[in-house]
Amino acid sequence: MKAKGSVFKYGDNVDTDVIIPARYLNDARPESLAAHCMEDIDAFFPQRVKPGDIMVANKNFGCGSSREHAPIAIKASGISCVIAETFARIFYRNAINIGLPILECPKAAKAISAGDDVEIDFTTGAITNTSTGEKFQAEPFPPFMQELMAAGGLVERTKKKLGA
Amino acid sequence: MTNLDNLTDEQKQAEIQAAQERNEKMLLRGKCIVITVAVLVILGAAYNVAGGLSFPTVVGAVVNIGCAVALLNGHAFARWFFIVVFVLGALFSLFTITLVEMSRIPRPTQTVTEEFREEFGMYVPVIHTHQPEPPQDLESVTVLYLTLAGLSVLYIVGAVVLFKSESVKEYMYSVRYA
Repeated sequence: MKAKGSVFKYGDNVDTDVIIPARYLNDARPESLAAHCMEDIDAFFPQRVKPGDIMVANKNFGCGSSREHAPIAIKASGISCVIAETFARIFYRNAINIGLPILECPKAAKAISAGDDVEIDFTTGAITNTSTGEKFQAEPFPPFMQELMAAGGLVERTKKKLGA
Repeated sequence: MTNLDNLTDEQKQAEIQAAQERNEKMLLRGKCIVITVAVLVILGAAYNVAGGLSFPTVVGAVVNIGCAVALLNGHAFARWFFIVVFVLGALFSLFTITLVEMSRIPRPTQTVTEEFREEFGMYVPVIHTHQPEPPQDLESVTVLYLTLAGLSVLYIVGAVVLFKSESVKEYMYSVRYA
C-alpha cells in the first residue's frame, strides 16, 4: 500500500475545531464535511486539495474534541495520509478506525515543506520527499492495521468479515 | 480568507491560534444566546402554569421546558422546534392585535338580521359571535398592544437568531459532538 502526493503543511496543536468547525456538523455526509475541511485556517484547502495529497503537521495534531468527523473530513477531502510529529490520542485511534493512514515521524514532519511531493510506503514505513530526495523512516503499521485501513476502516472491515 | 502558502511557520502558527480564539469567542457567544433562549422559554412556561393549571398549559410547559433542555444539550430538532414556535408565536401576537382592533369596530349584525327578516318574511336567527370583550379604556388597550408588540418582536428576533446565527450552531454541535 503506497501513497503519493503534494504536501499541505500546518503547525502545532491543530485541533478538531480547526479541522472541521462544529457549525458544519449538522450534515454528517463525508463530502459535506470535506467541503469545509481546514477552512478556518486555510480557506482554499477544499478547492486546492487533490486526491492522494498528503497533510503534514507538527505536534499534537487533532487535539481538542474527540469527534470522528475530523478524520472523516480529511479523508473525504482526498488526503491519503497525515504525517505529524505527534498526534492527539483519540484522533489517532479515530483515524485508524475510519481508515485514514497516519504516521508519526518527527524528522519528516520538521523537514517536509508545503508543496513538496512526497511518497509513502505503508508496508515499510518509508517516507520519501521526491522534491528534495530526503528519506525518512516511520514506524510501519502492523499487518492487521494495514488490512483495516485497506478495507476502509473498522466498520467496513467488520462488514466484510461478517459477509464472508 | 488566508492562503497559508504565503506565510512563514510563525505566521501559520499565529493563524492557527487566531482561528482557535475566534472559535472560542463564537462558542461563548453561542452559549450565551442558547442559555438566554432556554431561560426565557422556561420562565414563559412557568408564567403560563402560574396563571392557571389546565391541560394545555401543563402540556405546553412540559414540551417547552423539555425542548429548552434539549436545546442546551445541542439537539438539532430543538433549534427547529423553537424557530417554528417563535414564528407562530409572532404571527399569533400580531393576529391577536388585529383581532382586538377589529372587535372594537361596532358591527350592525342586529340591523342586517332585521332587514333580512322584513325582506323575506322568514325567521333568521341573530348570530351571537363569541368575541372577547375588548378593553375599552385607552390605558389597558395601550398596555395590551405594547405587550403583544413586544412579544412579537421578541419572537421574531429569537427565530431569526436561532435560524441565522453561526455561533448558535457552533455551540450546539460542539456540545452534541464533544
